[in-house]
Order: sequence, then structure tokens, then C-alpha cells
Amino acid sequence: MALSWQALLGLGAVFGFIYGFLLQRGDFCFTSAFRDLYAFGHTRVLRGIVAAVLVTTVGWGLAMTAGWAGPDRLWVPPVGWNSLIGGFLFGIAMYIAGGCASGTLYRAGMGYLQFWLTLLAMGAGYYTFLRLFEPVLKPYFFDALQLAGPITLYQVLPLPPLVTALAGAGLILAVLALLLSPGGLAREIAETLAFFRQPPGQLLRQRSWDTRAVGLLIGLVATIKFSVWTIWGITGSETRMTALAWSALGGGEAVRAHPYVKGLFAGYPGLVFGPEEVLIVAIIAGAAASSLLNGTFRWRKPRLHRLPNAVIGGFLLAFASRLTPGCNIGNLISGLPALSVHSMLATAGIATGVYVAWNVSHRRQQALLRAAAREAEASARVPVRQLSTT
Amino acid sequence: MALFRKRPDLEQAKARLSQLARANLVDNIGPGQEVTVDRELDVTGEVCPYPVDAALQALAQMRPGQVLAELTDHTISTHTVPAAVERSGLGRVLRIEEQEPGLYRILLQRT
Repeated sequence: MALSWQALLGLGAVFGFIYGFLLQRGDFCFTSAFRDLYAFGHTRVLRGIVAAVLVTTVGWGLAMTAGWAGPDRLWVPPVGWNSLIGGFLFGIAMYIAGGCASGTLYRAGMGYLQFWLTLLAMGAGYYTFLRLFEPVLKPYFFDALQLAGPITLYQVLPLPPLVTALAGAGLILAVLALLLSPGGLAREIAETLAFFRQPPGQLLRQRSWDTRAVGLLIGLVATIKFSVWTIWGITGSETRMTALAWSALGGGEAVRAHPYVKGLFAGYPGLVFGPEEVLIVAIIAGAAASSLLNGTFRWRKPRLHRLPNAVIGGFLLAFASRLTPGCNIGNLISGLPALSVHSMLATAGIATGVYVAWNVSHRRQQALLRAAAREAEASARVPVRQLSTT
Repeated sequence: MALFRKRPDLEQAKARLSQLARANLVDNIGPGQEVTVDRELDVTGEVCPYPVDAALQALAQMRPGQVLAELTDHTISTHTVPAAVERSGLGRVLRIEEQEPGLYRILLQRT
């Protein structure tokens, strides 16, 4: 059944609000997921992402087998070196900005002024990409780096979608069982299920939901959204919003004739603010509502010396998301469950990008920590009497 | 099946979860217990990874037993700072207080 434009606008508002609410409740920061794993083996958010990918994969396999959605709804871009290089740059940008595409939105909703600035800088990044697309990026980047067309394991493996999805999810679970031990995996599942036994009133007030439970809920919502509408993306919609702003500020015919913009607005009744753009605004609204309910909303003023992080990080986040293409949501939450080879490469690129950025800044931090330890040791040798007179 | 030979303990899981739910309101020394703070560190306005870096660096300069109070408005730091400090072996979390909505004071003791 084809849904009307108005119905889709309504769905954009509902799904965006739910996503924003969930992202805020879990403090579901993809940058934290990778950086904290490398920095001190902390996997709070990473476990939530794994849960989201597992549930979405099985949910979409079920939806396609049951006929609720066709495989044409999967987002599967062509495979190329750009998948890896773009993902790598996106990972570095996440580290610099201190947030990913979705993290920037939910934190903007929590009152972080720094992330509103990041969003503005992202607009500049999308605009620069659009201006460079035809003369530079298409011939010298995309065409030059493309290796193959779109590849998904759903096409490669001659199995019913649910079987392929279960095989993929089973593989992830087997790796987890090896890493955590089977008992550890069983405990993770029991803890996730126990989260839902708490009284609803208590859940509403809680500032910090279990990320595994949030991941499970995101997977369920993504499955419903896939069954009734489409996949979840962020940076494609933000590029449309940038094109609309460019058009409103005098871009006119140049924007309408732009080949990349034409592709972005395929299926739209012209250059208009559509359902997927409503979803972006609703994510901010959902996060704001959630943070007002659990007492984490606060207008947070950034430190002046961190503004370059917002400007450079935001610009690069947007630009890299177009080079890849796709952001952390498009590639991890929508691309991996589509069993898309492009998104597997992009995810590897993102993970590597955050690692390299962390490693560079970590060296500096380790040096500081060593110096601090030496200083503490030296001052401990100074007689106490002498210390008290200074 | 080997995976479920030992039945998951739901009560234990619920206890762990309720601890998780209070992640922003940790008190490891008991209510009413006075704490003498040796160093105050204000990192409001900073986002990751700076609250973690600042806490580690400050603790490294302190002596065992001394207490650091870090003031932050970055909500996720109530997870990341304790995890980093405890995993680094530099200190332990005494308490995480909520000063006002979205503003937290993390009390850390150098070990």
C-alpha cells in the first residue's frame, strides 16, 4: 500500500521522535563506542550498537521473508575504495567533533550549543561537497575509486532472506560467545531482558538506560520503519536540507539542475522539505523531550578554545559522509543489516579512523600522564615542612 | 545446550541493572559521609574526550588518598570518567553528585 505524502510526513515525525528519545536515553554516542574501547576497554555503547545491528538484521530478514518489505528497500551503494577512505575520514571527523551524525543531533536536543555549531559547520561541508561534486569529485574520486556495483550478501547467497539474516546474526553471536564466553553472553542477554521488567514510571525518570536495551529497541523500531516505509539515514536528509537552503538563498536553477541533488530528491515532488527531513528535526525534538523528562537538559556553553573542534569536525563529518557515502547510522544501523559490502568496508574505515585519531591524541596524553607521574614522584620527595611553607 | 547449562540469574541481573540505572547518582561511601576535597577541577563546557583526559592527568599529579572533585555538564562523562579512572588504576569513584539538572560533580580518590 502506497502511503500519502502527508502520512509519510507524519511517520517522519513519529519515527524521528522515537529515535531521538532512544538515542538520548542510552547516551548512544558512536564516537564513545569506538574511542572508549581503544582507550580503556569500555564497551558500554558498543554493546548497544551490536544489539541494534543484531535485532535489525533479523528483523529485516523476517520482514523481507514475510513480504512486509522488498529487498529494493535496502540501501546498498556501489563498492569502492571510497567506502573505506570516506569511512576513515568520517571516523577522524567523529573524533575531532566529539560526536557522530546522530550524536550531534541528540546532543543538540539536550542543549549543547557546541553541537548546534557543529550542525552549521556540517551545512558548510555538504555545500562544499555539492559544489565540488561535478567538476572534481565525480571524475577524480568516485569514478576513479569504484571497484564494483552494489553488492549485498542477500543477492550473493541463494537463500531465503531470513535464513541469510539468521546466519549473519548467528556469526556475530558466535564471535561474541568466543569473546565473552558462552556464560558471559547468556548474562548479557539476561541483563538486557531484565531491563524491561522495571516499572514504566521508573524507566521514564531514569537518566541512563541500559545501552543493550536501547539497541534492542532501536532494532525493533528500525524493523517497523523498514516494513512500513524505508531505512534510517541522516546525512542524506541533511544534504537535502542544505540543497534547500542553497536554493532559497539564490541557488535557483543551478540547484534544480545539479545531478547529485536530482538523485537525492528522486521520488520527491520537487525541491521540498520532505518526510526524511522532518525525521531529522524530530530526532532533536525527541532528544529534547527525553532530556527534559530525565533531568539532563541544560543549555551548555562550549569552551571557546573547542570551537575549532565543532567547525573543523562538523565540516569534515558532512564532507566525509558524502564521500563514503553514509554516516554511522546509514552504514552501521542500516547498511550492516542490509549485509551490504559497502557498509562493511565503511564500518571498517570508521573504526580505523577513530583508532588513528585516538592513537595520535593518546600519545600526547600518555606523555602528559608520564610527566605528571614524574612530577608527583618528585614532589613526594620534598619534605612536608618545606611544602607547607610554600 | 552448553550455552544455557548454567541458568542466567535474573535476580542478580536485576540488581546489576538497578545499579546501572543509578549510574548518574553513585555513592560508594555512604550518605552523609563527609569528604575533604583536595583539588577542584571545572571542565564544564568540555565534551569527550577532555573530561576523561583532565581527570586522569589531575589524578596522576596527586598523592594516594587525596580527593579530586571534577565538575562536568557532559552527561556521558558520568560513565566514561569512572570507567577510565578505575581501569587506569589511578583512582576510585567515591560519589557522583547531581548539582543541578545536567551538572555533575564526580568525586575521585587517588589510589
